[in-house]
Amino acid sequence: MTGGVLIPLLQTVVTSATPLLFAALGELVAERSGVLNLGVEGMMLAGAVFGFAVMTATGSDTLALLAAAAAGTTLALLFGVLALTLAASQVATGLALTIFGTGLSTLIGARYTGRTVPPLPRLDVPGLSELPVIGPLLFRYDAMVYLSVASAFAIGWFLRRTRGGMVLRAVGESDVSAHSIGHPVIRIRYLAVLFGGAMAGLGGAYLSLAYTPLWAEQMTAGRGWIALALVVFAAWRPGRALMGAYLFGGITVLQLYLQGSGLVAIPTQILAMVPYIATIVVLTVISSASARSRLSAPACLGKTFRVAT
Amino acid sequence: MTTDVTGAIEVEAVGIAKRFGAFTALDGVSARFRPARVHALLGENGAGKSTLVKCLLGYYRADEGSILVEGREASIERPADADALGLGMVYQHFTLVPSMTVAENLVMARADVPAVIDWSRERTALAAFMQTMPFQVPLDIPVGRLAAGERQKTEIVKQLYLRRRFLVLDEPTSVLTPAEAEQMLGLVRELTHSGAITTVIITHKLREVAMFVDDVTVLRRGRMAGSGEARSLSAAAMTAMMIGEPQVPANPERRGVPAQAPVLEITGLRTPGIGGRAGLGIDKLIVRGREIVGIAGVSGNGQAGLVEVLAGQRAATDGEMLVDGEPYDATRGAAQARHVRVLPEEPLRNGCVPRMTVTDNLNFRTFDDGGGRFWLDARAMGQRARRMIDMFGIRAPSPLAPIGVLSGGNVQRCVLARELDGEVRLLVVANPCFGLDVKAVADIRARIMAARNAGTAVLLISEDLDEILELADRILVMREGRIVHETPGAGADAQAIGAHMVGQH
Repeated sequence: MTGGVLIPLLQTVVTSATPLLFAALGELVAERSGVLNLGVEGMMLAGAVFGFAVMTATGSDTLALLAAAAAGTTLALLFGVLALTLAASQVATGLALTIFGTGLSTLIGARYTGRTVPPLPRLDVPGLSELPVIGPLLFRYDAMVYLSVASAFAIGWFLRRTRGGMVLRAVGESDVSAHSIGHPVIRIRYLAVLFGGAMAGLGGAYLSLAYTPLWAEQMTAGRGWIALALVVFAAWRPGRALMGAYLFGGITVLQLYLQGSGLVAIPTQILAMVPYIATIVVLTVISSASARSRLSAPACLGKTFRVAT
Repeated sequence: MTTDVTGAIEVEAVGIAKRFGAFTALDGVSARFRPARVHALLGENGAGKSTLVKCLLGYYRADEGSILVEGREASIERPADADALGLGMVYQHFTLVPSMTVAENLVMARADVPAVIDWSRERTALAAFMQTMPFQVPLDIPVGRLAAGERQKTEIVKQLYLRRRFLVLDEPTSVLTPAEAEQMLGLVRELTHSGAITTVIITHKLREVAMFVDDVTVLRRGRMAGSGEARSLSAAAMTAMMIGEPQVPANPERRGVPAQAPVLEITGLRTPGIGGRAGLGIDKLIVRGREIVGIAGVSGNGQAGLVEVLAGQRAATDGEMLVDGEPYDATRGAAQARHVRVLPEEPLRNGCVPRMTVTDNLNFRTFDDGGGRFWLDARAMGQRARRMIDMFGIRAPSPLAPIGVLSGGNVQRCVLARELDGEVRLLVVANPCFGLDVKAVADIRARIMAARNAGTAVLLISEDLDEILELADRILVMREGRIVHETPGAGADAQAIGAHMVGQH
């Protein structure tokens, strides 16, 4: 592999990791508050299609991204009403949300199928972007890539260093304790879930506005599920989610590259399966209670909280 | 002692009433808690103790009545209002987040933490605060790794850190060893008498009341049953107020001597260890008819495993169990045929379906006796349930109420009623009186003794040594899955048994 191939390849790793990172960070925050929202895939699709539609209509990428975040948040609100206020099963509600998001995005997206939009503009840094190797590797991306990386650090700082972060963790670790101290468990979980929805929406929009700036039905192709697995893989830490997203992004791109190069004898379909197999394994493992405690999952993850009267 | 606390306050409840649906939990209760004194709030389970303090602390809103703080009427609508007035509570469970450190737990509980926490400053402040405390707790250890006594101290430290001036302790010693309990209550009394706080202890341990408490308030069935200074009240007088009867229940009478032939005979029983804990290795265990064999031991030394094997919840890898000389494999069929009954500990969780009715729960063992009939016989079930409710004095709102709403004593009565119905050759009971109040304890123990007197072989597994000393004809000590000591129940030496329990004899 020559340097001429390597740099564009690594750039693709970064862009393919970005949607995963957005969605995983959002879900991570929701899960740290004790809520397991399996609707990430649905929220990403909603973000992707609404972002694309607003982009087509207005040509403004800022409005498009805001619309995507709003779409993800709206679906998350639906989840919150069902799973938090009405105390429905989080797993069932999340799965339903994914099905709903898939259907809704197909319906809205029908008229956009096959259309394209101009990709998000690159945010070049004068001077730095022209540096050899470093320039193209670190300083030739759109704003969303930088935003996703900054979010990982900001969320880590928020969880460790702020009052809000500490309360959020407490709600996820011991809802009853947090409630008895006087923290509003349900409200905090709502905020975390809504944030998760906004981030998933942005992740989806990055797919339809930057990674492949077009609309195709179910274009997230299971990335929402990969993001869910990433949260576990990252042991609920934002820094590790960043590394994990780039690792999964790397596997995806490597697989595409190998497919194109014809260098390996392994059927490319097998390689294409790798991220999904890893996801299935991880999701299977966390379904057992003992594995969860060993992986230091938030103790109240997935448990419904009801305020006693 | 120099603390930041501004001083004890007086709290008074005036005519508090609280109803849940048709059930009246509190019926016009008035009580005054004088400042800088240790108060005991006494009463049986369900007497309304927790409801009263929850009203004081804003977790419930009283339907009638008012609360005076320092003689002035206070409006306490939610916990935050109680906080602002300096009223706080230490619960038995659940107010510290186990995976977070003591420091994080303390800081988090405060209402005025800045949005961004400057940990180095908080830490300095915490260390300085800790210096003013009569006892120390480590700041950087996750609460989950502290021993029960340390955790209880952390709770109290937290309340002082929050500048509480009126503190309710809900059964603070229920999870502590006697030594830890005395130390903790001594510290609380010292703190209270120094004028820092007013303390209310919810309890039913009369010995602690006599040793550490100034004033006593007794509730019974939602009403005030009496109050006074602790030193002017005898234990008998307080018990009489609590249960509303002049007579303290007597110890059950033991009648007749054990039979010769063994009912339960266990030989060479082995189970594999789990997670670093020793499995069972019982060479010989015999229980005769009309005999209570008590198994004493520190929690986690294989007692639970033995109950599970006898209940058929865990398979033994080796060994033989005989009941009346016939092989017993702990299946439901064998238990019915050999008349074996097992009462697991925590009956609500392990022996009942909380959301099903009292009637259903009382019929679980026998509902399909009719022999292959498809339909349930609701009439027979109802009759059987009513008979058991009468015989065992079960207090339930209705036979059709979910069993989960009953008090612990009544749940245990239900399970006993169900399991002692009909012929019983062998009864296995685990911690039958854990968490029950005085009267229920006496009642349950009398039932077990009555079963023994009627000829049943009883295997009593209990972590309460007093219970074993009171009931057992023969006492075995279990340690690391083995029987390490045996002594007759009459005249048994508690100290010697204790030494064998911890392996220092």
